[in-house]
Amino acid sequence: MLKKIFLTIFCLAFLASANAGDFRDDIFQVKELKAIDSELKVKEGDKAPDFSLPSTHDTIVTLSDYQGEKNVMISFIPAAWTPVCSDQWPGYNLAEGLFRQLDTVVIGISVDNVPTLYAWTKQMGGFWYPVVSDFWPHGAVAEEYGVLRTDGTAERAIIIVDKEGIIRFAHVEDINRRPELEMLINALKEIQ
Amino acid sequence: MLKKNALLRIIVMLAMALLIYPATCLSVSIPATGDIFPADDLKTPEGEVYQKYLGLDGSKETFKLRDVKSKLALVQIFSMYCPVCQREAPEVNELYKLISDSNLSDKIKVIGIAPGNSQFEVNVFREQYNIPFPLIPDGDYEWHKIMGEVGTPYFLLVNLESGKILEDNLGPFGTAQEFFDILKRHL
Repeated sequence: MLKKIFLTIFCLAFLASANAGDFRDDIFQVKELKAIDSELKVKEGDKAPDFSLPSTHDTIVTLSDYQGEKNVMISFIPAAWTPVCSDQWPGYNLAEGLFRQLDTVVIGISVDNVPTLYAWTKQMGGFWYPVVSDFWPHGAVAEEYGVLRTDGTAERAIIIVDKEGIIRFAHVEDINRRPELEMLINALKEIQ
Repeated sequence: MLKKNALLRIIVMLAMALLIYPATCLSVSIPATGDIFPADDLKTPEGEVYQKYLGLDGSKETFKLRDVKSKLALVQIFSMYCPVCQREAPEVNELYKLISDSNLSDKIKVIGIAPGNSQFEVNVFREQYNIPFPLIPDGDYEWHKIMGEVGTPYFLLVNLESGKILEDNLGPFGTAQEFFDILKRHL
């Protein structure tokens, strides 16, 4: 009888482990969050607050360096290793041709530190655009733009800055969703 | 006597666990081999060439998988945002080519369905990788919920007559030739 019980326990444990065998297990699962938990401090027509932040490529990325050269789509994301974020930036990788056609670079910003962002973006295959860390002072750039949430993560926000350094599009998406790409591409087309 | 009672208690608990386990699975169950493919509506793919490939009436906005004129359908659940799907796209194209080159296009149809992707996003994926088969957006994740919110990529081979899932594959399928050999066994 005992043998049968142990066999049953073993089978149950095996079933449970087999069920958990998803290849994307590295991603931390997040419950539905409050859609927006901050208040934008910038608006269309404002001069974009400048920033210089360290990137995963061991460089310093400065927003104003792009002035007169490229439009910039700043993509704030809440946190590395979370489901929606891991399903957002790889899309901008795929749409590289569209962004280049529109003379635009993307800057990905997260409040995570550089090593975390390095490991996470490497796991996703790397990107053609810089990913920078707004870790210290914690979320200072996110705070300046008004997209720092009360728990220290950032909103899922898109800020489009034209070649004059002026904000032409500011959108805070429900943190649980991904901003639709067509909306972003249309916003970029409008400033051409 | 006490030992017997304790054993009985363990058996009852295990029996309850066994009953509860499938019930919890049901709430998020991902259709897999042996299950019947959900009969829910899918958006008719844009483009006459893709409607013709599937044998669908283009005037209707939606279709059911069983409407596809073929013996088998290989359903690929993917996303343009999924780096694994991006990396695998050339291999899936190669699989489609193997099917075509073997004159099996009438017997195995390939259909991509993209949870959380709009038509625009699906088109970006198509253009980037020159995808030759129909891609269907599931922008609001409605269909994805029916599929147990499965991760991407996920492949299902479906017998269109019985609706039964014959093969499932979560994650990349390896080489196109290996997967093609598996699919061919069901013809």
